[in-house]
Amino acid sequence: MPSERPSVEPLVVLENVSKRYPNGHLALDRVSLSFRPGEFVVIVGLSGAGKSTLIRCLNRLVEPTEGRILIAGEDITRFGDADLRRQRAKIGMIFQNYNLVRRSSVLRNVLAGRLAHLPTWRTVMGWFPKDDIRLALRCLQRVGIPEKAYQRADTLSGGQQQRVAIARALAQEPMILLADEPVASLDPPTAHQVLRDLKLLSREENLLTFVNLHFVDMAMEYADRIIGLRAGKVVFDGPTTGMTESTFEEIYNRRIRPDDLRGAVDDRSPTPLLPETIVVR
Amino acid sequence: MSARTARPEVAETEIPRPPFPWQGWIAAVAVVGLLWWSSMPPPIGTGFNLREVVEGWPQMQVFFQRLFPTPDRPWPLDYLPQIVNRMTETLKIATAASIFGAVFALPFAMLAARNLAAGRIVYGFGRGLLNLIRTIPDLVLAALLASAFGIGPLPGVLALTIFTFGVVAKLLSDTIETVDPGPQEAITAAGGNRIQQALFAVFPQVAPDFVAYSLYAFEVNIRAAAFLGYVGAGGIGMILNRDVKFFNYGRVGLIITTIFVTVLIIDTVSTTIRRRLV
Repeated sequence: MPSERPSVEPLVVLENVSKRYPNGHLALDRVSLSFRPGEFVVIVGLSGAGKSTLIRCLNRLVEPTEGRILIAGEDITRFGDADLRRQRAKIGMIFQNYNLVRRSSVLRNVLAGRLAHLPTWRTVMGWFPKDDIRLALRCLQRVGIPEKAYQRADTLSGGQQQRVAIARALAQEPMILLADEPVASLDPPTAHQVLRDLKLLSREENLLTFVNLHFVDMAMEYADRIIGLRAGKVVFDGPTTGMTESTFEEIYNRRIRPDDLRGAVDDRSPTPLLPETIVVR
Repeated sequence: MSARTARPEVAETEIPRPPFPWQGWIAAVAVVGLLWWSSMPPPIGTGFNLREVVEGWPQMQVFFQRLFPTPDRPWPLDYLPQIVNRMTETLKIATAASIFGAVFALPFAMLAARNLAAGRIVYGFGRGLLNLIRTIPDLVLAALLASAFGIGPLPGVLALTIFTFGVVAKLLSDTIETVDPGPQEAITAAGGNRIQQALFAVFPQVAPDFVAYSLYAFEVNIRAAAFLGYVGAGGIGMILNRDVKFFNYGRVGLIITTIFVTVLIIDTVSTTIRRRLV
């Protein structure tokens, strides 16, 4: 596969994408990037650097104010409501707070991933096709909690809830997966488990995956490619091996500190996963 | 002693004069003024005064005593079947109105909630209509409908349906605006349309509130329905009105006791259910 890579057409292309919020804040400043299918991209940067805005522009939960976003060759910024919904159906998304309907069953939450694939009247009546229910159960199996299908979502632990959210995204049978701070509410061992799952799914399904992360060591451990954002501008774009202490300083505007690291599975151990080019002081 | 002398500056500090409590005095003057104004003789005020209440007290006592049975004046128990009949009609009116009103309120509340309404115009229209509906007292509405549709339970059901619709839709749309927006964002991101967002992300969050508001409206409706007969809208109020007019004290007492017991039972059950829900 790696030998084929250069010839693969880009799946997502951003051309000079900017986002200025109504309060005047420029969250993205002429961002141009392109991504191939199956890449596992981690976006790092300070709070407010534009990580969430960048990810949300890709499914237009945030409307970019300038530029074009091409997905599979189509400019999604021009899409009307119906085309946009059709496009969103192909993009799974998971969130920091899981965004599950807490009072609904796990299965119903996962089935929500099928909504855009079905006629509205059918979903109103709650008549999901047998195939969709089977697909939803398979997705739960893949994230390792098939036995929870009929439990209420709020009876699950945080890590399990995030897995339900991943299953919901998988049920869309997407080609792109967006994850906005997916592990910020989880303890370190659970966070690593969730990131491992995401990475594995990305590989198996050839999913172009975008993950916003706060913690540098996690980014280094899982990313194929790191995008560093600072004040809405891309200040780093490259493989993890290209990350050095100076690129870190460029992204965070200061030296790396132990707070920037979340640690490996054993929270207390020093972070052996960091390459030697980054020195913790 | 030594501890006190350690902080001499406290004793020397002058306590500044607190500002004059204007709000309290203005409120007091306003309340007294309004009372005085309303107790002035007609046509300026109502002419209400406590002396009249005190002087009329014995007569009121006599009236209420007559409502209750004595050995020589027992309650006309043979009248009970007719009362139960009419009370059942009242319950039917309240139940039907509560169900119809709540069912219509559910989709409408979504139109009148900022986070689900399709645009500002729809939202403004929805809110406006709900505010308008709640300005009409249900008895006035029942009286109007009774003259339009004729005497009977139909105008009662219609009036209370509209009342239930107004109350439940208003309370529910307020609640919808406070739900966790996360699930709705997730459904939107997955390509769900507005109806699917409402049904899959918002409704499950407000379902217990919806049932609680409907039960609350039902409690109010029972009491209102007991009275609707006064304006010709069916139910137990019709016979209450008649028996009061003919000074059938025994019957009136029996009717009022029946209403009291029924309302008490329904309120207790309904309140218990509502507590469990929330």
